[in-house]
Amino acid sequence: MAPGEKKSQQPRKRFYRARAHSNPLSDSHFPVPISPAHIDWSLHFPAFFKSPLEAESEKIDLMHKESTSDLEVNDKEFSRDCCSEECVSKDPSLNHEADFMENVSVKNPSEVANVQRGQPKVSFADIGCGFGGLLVKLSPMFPDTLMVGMELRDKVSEYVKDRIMALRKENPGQYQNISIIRTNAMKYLQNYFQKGQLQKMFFLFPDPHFKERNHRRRVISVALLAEYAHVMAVGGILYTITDVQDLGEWMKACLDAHPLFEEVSSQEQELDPVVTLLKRATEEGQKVERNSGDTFQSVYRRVASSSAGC
Amino acid sequence: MKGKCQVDVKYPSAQSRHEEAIRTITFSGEGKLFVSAGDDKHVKLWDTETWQCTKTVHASKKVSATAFSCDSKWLLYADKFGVVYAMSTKLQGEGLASSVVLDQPVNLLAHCCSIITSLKCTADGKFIVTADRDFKIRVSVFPKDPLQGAHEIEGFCLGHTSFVSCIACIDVGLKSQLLVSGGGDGTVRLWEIETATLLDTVDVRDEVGIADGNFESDAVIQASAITCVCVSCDGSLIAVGVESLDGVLFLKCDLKSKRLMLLQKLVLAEHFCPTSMQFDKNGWLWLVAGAAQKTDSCKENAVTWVKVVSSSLDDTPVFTPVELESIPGGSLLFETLDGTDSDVNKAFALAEAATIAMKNELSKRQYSNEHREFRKRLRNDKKLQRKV
Repeated sequence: MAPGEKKSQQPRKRFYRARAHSNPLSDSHFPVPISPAHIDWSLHFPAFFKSPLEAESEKIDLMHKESTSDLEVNDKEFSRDCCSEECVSKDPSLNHEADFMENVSVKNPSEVANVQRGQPKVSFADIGCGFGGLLVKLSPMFPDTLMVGMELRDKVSEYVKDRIMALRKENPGQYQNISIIRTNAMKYLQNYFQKGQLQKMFFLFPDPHFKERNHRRRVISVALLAEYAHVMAVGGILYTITDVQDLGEWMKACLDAHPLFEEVSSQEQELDPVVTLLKRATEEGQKVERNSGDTFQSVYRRVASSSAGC
Repeated sequence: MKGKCQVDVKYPSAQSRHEEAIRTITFSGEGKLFVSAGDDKHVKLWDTETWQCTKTVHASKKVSATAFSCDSKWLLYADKFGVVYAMSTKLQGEGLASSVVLDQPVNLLAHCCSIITSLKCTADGKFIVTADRDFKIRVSVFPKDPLQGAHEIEGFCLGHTSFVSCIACIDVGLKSQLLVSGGGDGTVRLWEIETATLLDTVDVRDEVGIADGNFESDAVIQASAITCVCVSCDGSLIAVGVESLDGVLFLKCDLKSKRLMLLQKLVLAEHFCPTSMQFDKNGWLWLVAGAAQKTDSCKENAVTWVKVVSSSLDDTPVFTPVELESIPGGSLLFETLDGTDSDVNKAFALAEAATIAMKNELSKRQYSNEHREFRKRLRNDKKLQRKV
């Protein structure tokens, strides 16, 4: 590691200062994929996926297809995966450091699907992952499981991305299974994950939105639980923890009211290695512990619907 | 299904009248019930035999879409914050339930803070389909007991690249129900509801090209939002209203191959951009264009146009406008419907303003980076940044 090589060093939080709260109801100006099929996961997990271009250049010797711009997408809403052709000629390791935060929608979803079929899909999602503490702890625990953090704040998600890059460089072969997406999970979760895809979802120390008029901004609500239940597989587990008692009771009440979620018994919770991480893995959790605060956790399982169907 | 005879709507008392713009109206499947709702946050249920307003619900937000369940037992309405409510259509005295249960709407489902542009129930009673301005169409399972909420999602129809403005179900007793949607991206898409798969897409922007042939210009891209779609009774024809088209586009829907094909572009009259259309049982298409004026007086003072289009009875039908005389009720009907002011240009200007207002509501506002920073200038953390 050459001296002064900034990318290999762990990022310093002071350079990523951001306000603590970001309005989840405001209109986004960051790009959002048209559908889960339009995502090229090789940009996030190069060790697990071949990009469609790598696969093609393996099959056909350096024959570049002329890409036609018949994309029916309004440019202003979504950014194009415009640099993938140019990137092939560059150093492949740099290719994947290409900003996967910007290029979110591929032009050729069926091609991507052909190449990436049969590969594992993302199965853990940390909603509001903050500075990435949980992802970093979970990665070595489940090395073959792909996990993604979703964070709304731009600076914080940049920090997580730089952190993951640095960890991958410093620990060859490790941390290849975690990645970060800058997005509004409340609005766009369905654009990233297919029905029944996730095995675990994490909501650690979500924003309490104390005022009653702001309760609709809370990330756990009965209405949104329908969306979370949709992207979770039956038997998948949803973890939430908070240090705010009112919010803890609210989340438990929402989960109890929703027919597709069932509480996981405390015996089962004790046996789950992930539960022990809830309190201490994240920066927020460590802060609560430093201040000797109480925490309120709810762990629920996604159950099958009683009517015919999922 | 529009009624063919002219009827006076009775307002038994002053309270029954809508005070502000009516945004949505729907007939129930059998035609026995009618609902109207809009900016005054009142949802009114009407009996179509007597044309009396049987129920009025006071919604908390402006209502943007309404629908009836397939058995007409439930009235669904959606507001601009993405919440869909359900209410029983039963009247007091028809059952043992108390009036509290009958007249209290319950939360059914919600899109996360996104204007719901259209709400439909499939004819087989299995699903509720909702479309919003965040490019999504959600298919939810119609619950056994709507009072408990609709918690189960069947799928999401994702593919539109701009707000979804209108949807229509094709229900002709098919094994798998189909859905047609139109969006601000100028495309009409055909979906299979149960699997939420995209079957076909038609881009109408080529059809609505401006004379100078410059298809890349912003004007063409922006002025091609689909305003309305409707399906003929046999499910084989789809009529599409496009923002800047002075007429209507017809698409043929091949139910076997599940594809859409452009059939005909019918230009009707200058400045006639339909905002709403519906097929009647005879296969005629009724179109309405124009905009209602806001008025304090009790008289109807709408500046609207109505036209009717019929098709030849071929395998590939050709559409032609219907003359006034052929329509039952004829000119008298149109005089009443058209209102007093028949100034074409005024109607057009009003309609344009209304369409632009709707698009502004539904489209995401795009700010340049500099403008976005400018808008944040009063934020505390930005002030601190500048001090440092």
